[in-house]
Order: sequence, then structure tokens, then C-alpha cells
Amino acid sequence: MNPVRAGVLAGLTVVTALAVAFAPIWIAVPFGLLLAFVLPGLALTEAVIRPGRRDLGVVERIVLVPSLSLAVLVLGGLALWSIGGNLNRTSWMLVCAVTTLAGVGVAFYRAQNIVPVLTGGPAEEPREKYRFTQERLVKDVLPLTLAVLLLGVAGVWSFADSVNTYDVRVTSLSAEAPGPVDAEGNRVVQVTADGLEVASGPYRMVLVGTTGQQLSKHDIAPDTDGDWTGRITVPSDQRVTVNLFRGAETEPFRTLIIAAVP
Amino acid sequence: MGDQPTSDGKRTPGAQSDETIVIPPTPKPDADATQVIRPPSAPAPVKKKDADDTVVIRATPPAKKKRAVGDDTVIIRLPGSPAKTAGTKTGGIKKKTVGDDTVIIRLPSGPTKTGALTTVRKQAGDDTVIIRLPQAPAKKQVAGRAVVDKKVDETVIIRLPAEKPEPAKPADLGWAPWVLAVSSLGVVLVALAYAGGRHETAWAMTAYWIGQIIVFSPVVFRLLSRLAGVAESFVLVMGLATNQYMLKWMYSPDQFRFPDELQHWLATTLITESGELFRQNNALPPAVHFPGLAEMGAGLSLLTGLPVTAAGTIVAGVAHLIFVGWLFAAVLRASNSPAMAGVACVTYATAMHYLFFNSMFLYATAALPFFMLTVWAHRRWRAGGGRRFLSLAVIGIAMTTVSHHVTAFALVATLLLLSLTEVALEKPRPWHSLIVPGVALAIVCSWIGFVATDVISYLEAPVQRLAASLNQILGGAPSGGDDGGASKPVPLVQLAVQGLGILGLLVLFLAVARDMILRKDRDTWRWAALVGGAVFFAGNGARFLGQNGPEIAGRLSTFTYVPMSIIAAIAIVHAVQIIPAKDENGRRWLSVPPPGVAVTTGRRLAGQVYIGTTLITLLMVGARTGGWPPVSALLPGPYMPAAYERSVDAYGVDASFWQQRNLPQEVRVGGDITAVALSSTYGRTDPVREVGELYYATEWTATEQEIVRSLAINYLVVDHRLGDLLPMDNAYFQSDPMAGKITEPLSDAQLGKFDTVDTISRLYDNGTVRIYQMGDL
Repeated sequence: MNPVRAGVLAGLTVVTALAVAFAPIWIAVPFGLLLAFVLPGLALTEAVIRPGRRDLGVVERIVLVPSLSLAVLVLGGLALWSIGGNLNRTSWMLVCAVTTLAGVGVAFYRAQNIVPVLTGGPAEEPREKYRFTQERLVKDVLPLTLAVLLLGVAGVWSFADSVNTYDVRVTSLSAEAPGPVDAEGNRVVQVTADGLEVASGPYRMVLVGTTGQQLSKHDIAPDTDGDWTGRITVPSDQRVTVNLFRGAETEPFRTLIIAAVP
Repeated sequence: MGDQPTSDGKRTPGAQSDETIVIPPTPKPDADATQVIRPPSAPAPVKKKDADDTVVIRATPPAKKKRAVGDDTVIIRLPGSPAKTAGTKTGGIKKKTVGDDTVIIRLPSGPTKTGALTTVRKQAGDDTVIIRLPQAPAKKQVAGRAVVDKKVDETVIIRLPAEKPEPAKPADLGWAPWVLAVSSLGVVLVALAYAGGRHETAWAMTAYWIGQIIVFSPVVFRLLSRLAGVAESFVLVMGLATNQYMLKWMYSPDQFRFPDELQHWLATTLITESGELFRQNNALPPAVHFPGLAEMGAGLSLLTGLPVTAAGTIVAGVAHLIFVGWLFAAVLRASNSPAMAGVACVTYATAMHYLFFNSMFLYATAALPFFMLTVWAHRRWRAGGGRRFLSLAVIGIAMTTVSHHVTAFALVATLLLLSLTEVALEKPRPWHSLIVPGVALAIVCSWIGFVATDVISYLEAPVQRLAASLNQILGGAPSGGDDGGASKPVPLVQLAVQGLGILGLLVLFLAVARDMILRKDRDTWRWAALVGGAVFFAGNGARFLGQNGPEIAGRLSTFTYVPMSIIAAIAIVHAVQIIPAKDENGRRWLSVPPPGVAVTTGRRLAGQVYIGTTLITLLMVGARTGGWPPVSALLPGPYMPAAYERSVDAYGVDASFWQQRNLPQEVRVGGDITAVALSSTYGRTDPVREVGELYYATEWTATEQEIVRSLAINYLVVDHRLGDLLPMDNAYFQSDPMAGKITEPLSDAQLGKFDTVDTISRLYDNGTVRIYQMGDL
């Protein structure tokens, strides 16, 4: 690795680490992806492959970079945890960044101090560089752009369709486990109603005892999110049914049952 | 791996003037004379015009090279790349078109009936092309066996530059961008189909299949044409993998819905929340000690700030692409043929679980790329790449081991197979090749022995079920628990498609096996692939072993389909003879294939491309119908009971989040398959899966109470939609006592009996899903 390349890679690593640590999410995402999938593997690949040799083909190099990056994430995390470290954003960022810088250092050192060995492996051959021409524009860039656009459109649309389809408003009535029996033989129960549609109201909650007699009645006024919560007191010796009615409906909309204390 | 022999007179293509090399009439060499034809730089026997790449062949004096008496071999050395030869005719010789490896020689004086044209075979990795000239079927008896008389065997050997992993123009993407653009149209079509499925439109299924074929087949067609170099093949393969991952992701793009993905979502979330590894995961206890995937997801989530679901989706996609990339790299390195690497990859894309299980956010997905990395590194090390590749292999082994147990076992077996074939076939025996499987075995055993000690008991149950099914098939008494016949009958069309695909693979496998055996092939990697292919077919037999048979067969094929894909690629790319021609002794199946590789052009190649594309597309269709999701849930859509992804909707999710907010993590919650999956992941509770009897009972009696007590159940989740539809897979519950025998949905009495029990409280109700507290146990 020549000094310029080593310097660029090291500098990019430092910038990436800072972005991951301090930048807002829209900046942290691309830099985080770079640190997770590219930089450690790139540096380690450069460190592993001897200078002057083409031990790896382009395909192998392309695949090895993210592989080693993921290996750093996993094995580095295991090593950190095994010595008592905590796996959080900073520690993982440091694992990746330090490994990258170490790899850059090794690659740079080897390039400066090791004479390229040309025996036993394929010799360095001049590679054809990708030249951007008008023909390339039509043959490569245009169709690839089209493919990416199609995938993007399909993905975004699929996501939106899925969210819209499954994003159903769920109206639930729930109760926490009843509290202890007080001196009067009653228990306090925290009851919550979620997802109430104000337009479908008014809502009322009716408590019915074991024998069917009405114990109490409450008007429910949901907040702007359609949620309501409140405490109700129920006799501990009765099996209480909590019915939630909606509008003018005569059948309960949602029902809870609080068993009597045995 | 690239040297596959095939050829005979039947392979001779029709006479096409633009594919012909014609050797001008030359004096037939004497019986003891050898013709050596050399490039222009050599002392003159061969001349080549710079302008038209025509090679002129002249006889050389016999003194140039000695040959055995009766050997009529002509050796032609062609300078430069074969791809540069143009289709012009000069002096009776014509060379093939660009990118075409076939050289056909027209013999002006040859016998017309037997075919004046012969196919040339080129050995990949070698500079030799062998041209078998027409010959009279002369025989002579030697020790009671007919042999060919060498005097009439007129073979021309042309040495061409060997194919390299790097094409002449590495940056040339060829038609890959346009092919992928077309393939992306298929993705759009499948997206439309998914939307149609969500809204229950009639055309959705048709659009789905058309889309699947448009995504897949153009790439296969292009790769089978064998015109793509390394860059184009690689871009095609990775593009196809990307498009197919899109198909998987678009099924449920907004959240994980498959239970196993939810389990790993929890494992990842536990790390991001606590910063610790090996935290208890009630949803999937064995995953605790295989944190590879969870670490990747948590690391990416923390580094980017993305939610775990988004990070997991990206990690699974990248891991999937890396796996495909390593498969391509390994086959390319072993075969020196981008066509073979590409065809192997697209064939592997027809594996049963490729599209979903192998690209889901599951721990196997994280282990698979390192499985292939290790195989590739082992190959590079054995090919003299040096210790650095041994180091990479060790990294791959370590990553596989900490990521997934079964993949780690498969890796040990694969490395052992590779090394043992090497030891068996090579002399002196390369015993040091056993180092890598030895290291793998040591690492895997150490991890399981010291860290993941619970994995043995976890895997014990399925192994016992498999053994019981085997025992039953072999005539033993049926064991309890698995009746072996409870699974839903597979539709005939589905069976036919899958059967045809497997039959096609078997034919290819047998053709390659015959070819290798008769040719006395000594390539260790090809033999290892052949053995692996045999294991693939044996593994397919597992699909008949009881209720879990199809799942076991599918999961096994994740590994065994790799060598099978390579074998299929060898057969397709090298056009290994399915039905060999009779030899001079009248033997068809025992006729020894000549050395070298058959490379075809023209109509024959076109035919192979069409047939190959059809076969691989058929395999893909078979995989989609027999893989995951099941046919009844190929499209996303409204709720279906116990249908995994199709069962996860807002009602179940809301109920599970209520559990997460209100219940302690140690409480034990039972329910149907979906309810348990959601409760144990989003709900963070301890799942109880064997609760079917509680739901099937029409009344709550002391028996049910005892079950609750014995299983220490605190809560039950009851989804009233279980009373609307039959379960997709013939079971509402895991370990369902009624599996395979359910004839009608659960009744109101069965689902409503919980409301009548004095000691049971209903603490949650969203109109569809209810949660009951079991009271004091």
C-alpha cells in the first residue's frame, strides 16, 4: 500500500469513526455502513496480501472485503466482551476503527519493507481500466441506472403498500393484574383502553358482578390519541365482567373478566 | 474442475461455413511421421495472417518431432488468444467467431458420410484442443478386447491459450446491465403481485410466476450462452442474487414476520439494549451461544442508528450476497471458467430454501458466507496459495462456528470430504491436507464443549424423530409423537414439477459420474463434488421420513446442493453426453470418452442454452413450489391461521406488545404457533408450545387444569380467528395432538370455554385476540 493510499484510508477511517460517534443519523448511516462492511476488511485485505503479488482476483477481493469486515464485527465483539467490555456504539466503533488503522499500518509497513516476491504466484499484470465512454453510457450506465430505479420504485412502493395494508387501528381493552385485597374486601385494577376512535363514541364502561348485577358505570373520554386509562375498584369476592360499549351499541364492544379471589 | 471430456461423432454440428476451420489438402503423413505446426515465430511450419487471424497449417518435416508409429496426430499451435480469431476463410481454414471456443475443421478429402466436420475440445486450464478427425472403424483384437487402430485415428491437437479467471477485458460488463434491467422488470412484476395478494386480486398469482421467470431466466440464458467473461458473469450472478433478495424482502418489507426472524430480532435487540452477549433468549435458547448474526445486526444497528429490523434486513442481504459471491469465486477458482461459476450459482439459486431460509435474518444466513469462504480458502491453500489462505480458512471456521451449529457441522464434513478425496486420489498421500478439517473439528468441538453445551440436547430431538421415522420405514413399530403420515398431501402438479427437476439433476449427475469413472478422472475436487451430489440425492430421501422429513431434506440441501450445482454446471457447460454414442466396439454406456472438453457453437450451443435454461427454470419453479413459503402463502395477504408470515398482523402484534409492557419476562405464555412466536419475541415472555389439548377441549375440566399446572402456564393467548379457517399446515399448535387430523376450525365452545372458568381472568381483548390469566396454579 503506497503512502497516499494508506493516508487516505486512515483519514477516511478517522472521519468515519467521528461521524458514527457524533453525527446525526442521516450522516451516521452511510458512514456506519462503511465502517461495518468495508473499511476493516479493506485494510485487512491489504495487510494480508503481499505487495507485488496478485494473490486475489478482483472477484475474490470484492467478496473478501465485506467478509473480513463482518468477521471484525463479530470476533472483535466477542473478544471485547470476553475481557469485560460493553458492546455499545462507541466500543464497536473503536473495534472497527482500530482494526482498520492497524491493518493500514501493517499494509503500509509491508509495502515499504518487503521486497515483492514474484515467484510462486502470478506476476503483476497491467489491468485494463474502466474507461467511461459514450458507448459505456448506453451499454452499462443507462441499463444499470434503470435497474436500480426499478428496484427502488418496487421497494418503496412495496414498503408503503405493506405498511398501509397492515397498519390497522387496533382497539383494545386491557387490565393489569389486580392489586391486593384492601380492608374493605376490594381490589384496585388499572384498566386501559387503546385505539379508540373518538368519532365512534361515546364510550362507556359497565362493570357487572357474579350474579349479573351492575356494579358501576363509567364514561370513557379518550385523549387525542384515542387512549384512556383509569383505576376501577372491584369486589374481591366477585367475578367481575368489564364491558366496554361503543356509541349506541347494546352489545359490549370489548370485554374483560376479573376472577374472584379464591 | 474444468476439464470435462465429451465428444463423439454425434456431437458434430452441421456444416456451417462461418464456424469452420478447413485444413487444405496436405500430404498425409507417413505412418511414422509427426506433423508439428508452430506459430509464425517458430521456424515456419505455421503462418498466420495478422489481418484475419487465419491460421495456415503446413506439414513439417518428420524430424521436428518424433511420434510413435501409427500415431497420426497433428499438433497445431495457435498464437494469441482464441477470441481474436475471426470468421474468415483463407486457404481452406476458418476460425470460430469471437468468444466461441469451437474450432471445426473441414476435411476436403475426408469421408463425407462419417462427417467431414469434427468438434474440437478445449481443455480449460490447458492450451490443448483436440480435434478428432473422421476415421474408419478399424478394430483389432488385443488380448480378447477390441481396441482402436491408431493408424487410422487422425486426431489434431491444437494448443490454445488457456482460459484465465480474468478475462481479456476484465472491465467489460457485456450485456449484464441490460439483462439485469430486464430482470428488474420481473422484480416490479412480483412487487405488483405481492400488492395484489395483499388486496386479494385474482391476477396476482399469474403476475407472481411471470415475474419470477423474468427475474431468473434472462440471467440464466445469458450465462448459459458462455459468452460472458468474469466481470459479466459476476455482475449477472450478484445482480440476480440482489433481485431475488428483493423478492424476499418485499414479501414483508416493513417488519420481520417469520418466527425465526423474530427470534433473532430479539437476540439482536437484547445486545443493543444491554451491551452484553449470551443473554437469555426464551424464544430460541440455542441461539444464545451462536451470536454471530446477532452481533452483526447489533453492531450495524449501533453504528448506524438504524432500528434492529432495518439493520437485520441489511445484514441478511449482505451476508446472502457474500455467500453467492464466495460460491462464484470458489467455482471460478476451481474451474477457471466464468461460465461454470455463473451456471453453478444460478443452479444453486434453485435450492429449496435459497430464496427465503438462506436469506432470512437467521443465524444460518450469517454462517453460510463463511462456510463458503472456508471452502474457497482451503482450495487456495491446497493449490499452493500459502499460509495466508490457511489463516483465512481458520477465520472462516471460527466465524461459522460462532454463527450456526448445523452449518459448522456441515463445514467440518465438507472439509473432511475435500481432504479425504485428496488423500485417496493423490500420491504420495497429502496427509497434511487433513489439517484444515482437523482445525475445524477442534474449534467446533471446543465451542460446543465449553460454550454452547445446550446445543446437543437441542439437536437431539429432531435426530431422534428422524431415527424413529427411519425405524418405522424399515419395518419397526411407529414411535409416539410423530405418526409419520400426518403431513398434508402434496398436490400432484407440484410433485410433478419437483420430480421433473430432480430427475433432470439425476440425469446430469449420472452423466458426469459415468464420464468421470470411465475417463479415470483424478481431480479430487470433482470427485468431492460428485460425492456431495450423491449425498444430495440421499438427503432428498429424507423428505419421506415423517412429518419433519421435508424440512430436514430442505435444510440439508442448503449444503448438499452446492456440490450438486457444481456437478450440474459441469454437465451443462461442458455438455457432458447424456446418451453417449456407441464406440467402435458397439458399447454405449461403457465407451470411454476421449480426453478434453467439448465446446460447442452454433445451433448445437443454442439448443443447449434453450434446454439448459428450461431445466434450470423448471428447477426454480420446483423450488418455489416446494420451498418456502408454501404454495398457499406464496403471496402476502390477509390473516391465515398458523401460517407463519401470513399470521402476523396488527392484532397479534398489539397483543404481544401488551405482554411486553405488562408481564414479567419469566411468565410462561401458551398459544397457537403464531401467538407463541409473538409472545416470546415482541412480548419477551417464556413460551409454552405444547398447549394444543387445552384448546381442543370443549370443556374445562380437571384434566386441563392439570396440564396448566404441569406446564406451569401463567397466560394463554386465544386468537378467535382459529375458529374461522383451517390451519395452513394442518396444525394450529406446535406438537399439535390433532396434526393432520383437523377437519374443521375450532368451535366457539372450544375457544370460548375460558370465559366460563371461575379462576381464569381475561385481561386483554382487542376483539380478535384475547389473553387469559390462568389464576393461581
